[in-house]
Amino acid sequence: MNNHIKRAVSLYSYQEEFFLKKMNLEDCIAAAAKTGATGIEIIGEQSIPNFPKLTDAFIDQWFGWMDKYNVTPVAHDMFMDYTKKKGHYWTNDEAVESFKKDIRFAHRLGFKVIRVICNVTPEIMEKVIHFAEDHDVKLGIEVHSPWHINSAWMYRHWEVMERTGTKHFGFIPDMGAFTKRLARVQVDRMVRQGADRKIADFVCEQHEKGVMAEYIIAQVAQMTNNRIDIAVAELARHNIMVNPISLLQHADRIIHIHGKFYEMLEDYTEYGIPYKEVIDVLKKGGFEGYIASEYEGNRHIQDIYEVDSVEQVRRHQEMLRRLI
Amino acid sequence: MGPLDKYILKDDALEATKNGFQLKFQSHWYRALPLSCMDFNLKINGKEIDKNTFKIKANGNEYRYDELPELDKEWLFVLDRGILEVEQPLEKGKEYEVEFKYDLYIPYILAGSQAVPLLASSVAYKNLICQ
Repeated sequence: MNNHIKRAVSLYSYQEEFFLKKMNLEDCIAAAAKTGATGIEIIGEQSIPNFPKLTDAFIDQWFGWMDKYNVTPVAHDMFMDYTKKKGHYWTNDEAVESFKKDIRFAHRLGFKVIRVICNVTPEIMEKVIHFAEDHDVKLGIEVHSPWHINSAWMYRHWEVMERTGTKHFGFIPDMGAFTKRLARVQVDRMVRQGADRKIADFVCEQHEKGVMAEYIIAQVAQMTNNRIDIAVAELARHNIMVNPISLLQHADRIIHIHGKFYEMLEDYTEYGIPYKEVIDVLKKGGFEGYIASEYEGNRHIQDIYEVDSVEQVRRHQEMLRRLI
Repeated sequence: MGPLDKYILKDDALEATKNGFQLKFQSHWYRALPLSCMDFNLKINGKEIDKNTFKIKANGNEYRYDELPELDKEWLFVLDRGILEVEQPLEKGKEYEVEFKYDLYIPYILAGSQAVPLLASSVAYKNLICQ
């Protein structure tokens, strides 16, 4: 069956090298393009100083890079800073104004999708849909673990999509909701920080068997009072495994995929996330958007290894190329 | 703990100034945050510095410590360093034991029943030669 799934890279993946100034923004774009990906995703506040302000000179440079490396701006990841001042929680109007800044920013840099952070309320979404339509930017609520696409919170967003009938609001599932095996790099780091290896192994085994997170946490609480052991058990709560088939019923509302990963192995598989199972479902559902590599293992190995995000993303893209 | 906490203080972070010293720090979060979401504690050779004596510099602007909670429009970009300036003389070329606790209140991750910003706190311990 022919399919039209495309590949992108979130420059978030290169954050370690970017932060250490081993790679600048252009280097990140070049590295993404070199993998064969054709789309670029960014977090505005991570990649661009003075976000959301943009100068004409920067915009020219940005599109120059897109042409030079033969890539397309795909998605900007937006955040909703509800409480920047202690004790003051944004009103919906303040939140909407902030959201509009992200939409204008995305529009000016050519992004057709905004990844909306999962804690944005359905009420706020409904208030910005027209603005997004006017700027031809699709909004995708991030379906991030521990939520999944059938969670009550996502159902409330789905109701807004259905009620408004808009083509500019959909879902962006994050692959972290398909964590079959807990990320080894994350568990190992917690062991280096003092977690008990035997308890960590127990948690990983139980999670892989599909035991409910709350049971695992309760069992570990019987074994130890050590906070970090409990934190290991809580990984099972924050890194869920849902059946990928759950995506099918909302296939027409999926606009983009966050290809979260923690550890790409030399055989081009992800240690804990069964990409093939998920991509097979996306193909069956006729998904035609981008899957964007989003490497997050860097932060768990930086204490003992030199991070090589470029190689990790290359492997991830090669895996996607084969599976798509 | 932040995702980048290993890199808060570089080797040249401590510097003598005309009136005292300054400590240059980099955020340990992956995304720029405003100064209103930050707090700091600093010990030099085990002795805590009174926070009210801090001057905080970012993007060429300078603030008193008590102004910090209101600075929601002064963002510190992930590649830039902020500066804590203290009017307490340190000796150039001498090594000091620095303990810098850097708290970030993540404004988009609201935790618990009170929906307060998640506290991402990192403590950097480093022996630094005063530049």
